[in-house]
Amino acid sequence: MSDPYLILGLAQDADDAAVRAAYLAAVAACPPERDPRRFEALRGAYEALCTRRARLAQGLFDQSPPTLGDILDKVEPVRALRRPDRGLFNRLLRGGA
Amino acid sequence: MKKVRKSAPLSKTQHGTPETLSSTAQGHVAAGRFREAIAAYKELLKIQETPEGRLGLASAYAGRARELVAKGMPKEALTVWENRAQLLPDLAPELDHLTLLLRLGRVGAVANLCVRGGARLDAASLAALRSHLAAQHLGGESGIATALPADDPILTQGPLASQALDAYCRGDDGAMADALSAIPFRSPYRDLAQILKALQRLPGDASGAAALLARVGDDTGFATLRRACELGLRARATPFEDLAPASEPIRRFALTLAGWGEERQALWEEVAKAGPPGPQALLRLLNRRRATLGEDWARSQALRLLVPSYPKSAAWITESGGRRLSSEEGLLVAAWRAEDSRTSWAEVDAWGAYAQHLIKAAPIGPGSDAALRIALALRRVDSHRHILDHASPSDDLDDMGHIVADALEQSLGYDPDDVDCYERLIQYYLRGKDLKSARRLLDPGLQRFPKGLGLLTAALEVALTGDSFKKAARYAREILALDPINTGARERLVKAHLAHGRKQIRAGRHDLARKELDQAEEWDQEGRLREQRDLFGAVLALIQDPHGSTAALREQVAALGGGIAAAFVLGLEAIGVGRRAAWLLKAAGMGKIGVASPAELNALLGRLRARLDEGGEMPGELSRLIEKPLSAAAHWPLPRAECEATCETLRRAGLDRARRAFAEAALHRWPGAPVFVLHAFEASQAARQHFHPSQAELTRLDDARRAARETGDHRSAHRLGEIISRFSSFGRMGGRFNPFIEDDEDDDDAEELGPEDFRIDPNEALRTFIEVMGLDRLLEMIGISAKERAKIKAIERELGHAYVMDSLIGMLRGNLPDFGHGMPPDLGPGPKGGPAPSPGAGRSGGPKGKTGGGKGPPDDLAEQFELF
Repeated sequence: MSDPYLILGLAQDADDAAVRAAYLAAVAACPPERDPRRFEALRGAYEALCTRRARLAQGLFDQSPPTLGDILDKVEPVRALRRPDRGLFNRLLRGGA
Repeated sequence: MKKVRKSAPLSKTQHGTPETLSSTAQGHVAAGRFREAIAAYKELLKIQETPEGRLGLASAYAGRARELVAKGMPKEALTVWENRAQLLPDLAPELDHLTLLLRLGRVGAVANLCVRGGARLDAASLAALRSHLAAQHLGGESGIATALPADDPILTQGPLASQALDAYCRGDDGAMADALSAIPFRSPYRDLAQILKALQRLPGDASGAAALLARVGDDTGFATLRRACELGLRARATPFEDLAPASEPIRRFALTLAGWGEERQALWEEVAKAGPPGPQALLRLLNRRRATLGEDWARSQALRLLVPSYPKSAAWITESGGRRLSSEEGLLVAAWRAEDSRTSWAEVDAWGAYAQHLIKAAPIGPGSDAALRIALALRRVDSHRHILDHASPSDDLDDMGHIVADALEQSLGYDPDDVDCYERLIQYYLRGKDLKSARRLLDPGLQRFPKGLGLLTAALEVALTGDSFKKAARYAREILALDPINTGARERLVKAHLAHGRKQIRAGRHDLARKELDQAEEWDQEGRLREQRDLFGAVLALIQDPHGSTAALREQVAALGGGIAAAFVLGLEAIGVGRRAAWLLKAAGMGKIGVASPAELNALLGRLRARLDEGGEMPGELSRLIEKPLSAAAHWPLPRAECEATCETLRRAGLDRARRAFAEAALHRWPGAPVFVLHAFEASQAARQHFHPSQAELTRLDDARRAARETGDHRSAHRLGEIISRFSSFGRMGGRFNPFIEDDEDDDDAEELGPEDFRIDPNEALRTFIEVMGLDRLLEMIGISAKERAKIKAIERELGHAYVMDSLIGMLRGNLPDFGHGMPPDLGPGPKGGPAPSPGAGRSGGPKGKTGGGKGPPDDLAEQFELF
């Protein structure tokens, strides 16, 4: 995922305070010692958006093409791990390979 | 016995005795050639019916059946398993046969085999088979219950397993734990218990969960569930294409576990199942889903997909259902595309065009996003290419640094709150000692950022460069108030006071020089520059009282360690105050200077390097003073790395005589060492005017270059290559040396060269002529103005020396129609292999909209250079 707004789960019109709040919440939920790569992505996204000048520069100069992951995230972000229902279990127990 | 497919025929050579057939069949089985093995065993059984032969055929059938399952042919595999069962009815069924039956829905058959043939299965296989039946039963397969006895643990423990699973699904971990605790350890549901305990650890302990999952074996009935759980754990880090090979039930389970919602999963299935989508497929997806994605977001992402193939890709956006690119969008995508360009000019033009479009587009309010966007666009080339990092101001209006600096200055009109922009511009102007421009930026910058350390440091530099010591002291105080441990500013100021003091001595104002020394002492409280201050004080005292005691000076010599290093420092100080080095050395009692030991040599080289690193030059008198004793020290057997470092320092200092001595001494110890061949040659070349190397020297250089390449010394190889190509033209005209021929050629026939071998390529002759004369001198001689010369030099920096040379040769050839008269007529009309001069190739004439050099008057070279 390359879009810093998606990484931090922010709307395109987020301001400095919203960016900072989203960053702190994301780091609290996923501290660097648990997932250093995720933290690196969060830090990069925060730095890309932390000021108004940075946000405008990001819009103007970041030419990273969107990935399918970006589009999927925009449609529906990945949530926390969740428990599959019994129907999904049963299909696998019956050998759904 | 059923036939799946005709067995592989035996070749003639495979026919033979039972022994050879048996051996052949076993070899096929061992090599995994089961079809051939089946054929061989059948042939064997025709000749000789033995239990061993039947067992061998059964093993070949089993291998073939597994092979067919792996190929996705389960029904064919089942036929082979059945052939095996018919061949040896008393043989225990294989677990793979049974699981295949389960997979194909033949649950009753498996249960029967389990009950009837269970005694023939080994304990591990039986346990695995029972776990398969348990998994099927738990998954809702009704046939199990009717096929097994009512007291079978699969049936009696099934409700507990089901309760545990239901409790997990609804998030009731307590109920799950209760149900699992009631399941015995050796239960056929044991692997389910492991999996549920693993899942319960999520999301906090993913590694613990993975470790529990790893305990579930590949042959159990719960292995598929385990694989799905493992895929779910890795799903966040798994590339999308890795998800595709998983079956749909496994993928859905894994993605659900990983937190993917229904819409996300559905979109993935729609787009990525067939493989990773390309840019055009993503464009179609963005346009199709733009309502969900948000119009602005979808559009901005769509533009980014066009960049690599722009402008060809401009049509994609309409082809994928989007609206045409607006002017602004087109300019922005073009600017992004230009950033991949080899030269900076494309980028300058593209971002310039985009910024101008924004400026003209609408009225811009101060502080608005539009204004900031313009400022950012104007700064982009510098922030992307770092043009002003090293550029110096130029009078040339088409100089890259000049254009970029102009854009940066313009940007401050739209966004005056970018401290970095002020600092970069001031440093740029300082590099060219353009203090007026630097001050123009300094004042508004300091007004906005009075506590900007970078800006204050730049202000200090500007003040010192302009000899404004009071201002410098003020800025230094401000810097130190903000950053008390900023030793850089302090030292800079002390050095500046000393430099100014030397200037006052030269002007005969000894009182003012003393004042500068006092101020230097005041700032150098930590005494980091005590050595310089004390020496300055001693010299000043000597000047003020030439007949007084020289004790202080001698103390300084002792403090400096004596020897040639001290002589060097004293010499520099003397020259700094406008005296001869010899005068001060004599006063200090330093007679004949020599290098007494390698330690003294190292001390001198250390001083020399420090001087060069500060950008100081080597005064001629001092060079003459130290070069002879330095050369005499070349015979010391220094380690090779030290010899190399010494030669390099001497090169930087321009002490070529000493450098040559060190290089030649090193070549005695390491014959042919490329780095010393290079130094020896360069140093000898510097001593001779209008120098041209002999054939033997060029050969030696070429050998050294080859040796450097072979030993991985790329720096020496590159430098040697540059020297060789500089002199290669001479070689072509008057000799046979050609640096581009890598092979060692036999020179025996050199004497047999005839006149044909000495044909002169006019282009090469011109190239040589220009190289010998020097580009600057040639341009000056043919009447090119200073401004135009600067322009050509800028092109040279941007597009390379070779490009400028080729263009010049092309123009000169056009103006010298008789040049090359008497040459063979088939020699090329233009520079060999070089690009033709064209206005579009660089800044050369491009911005002014002028056309190529060929259209200018043939006898007016200056005008052609204007076009060039």
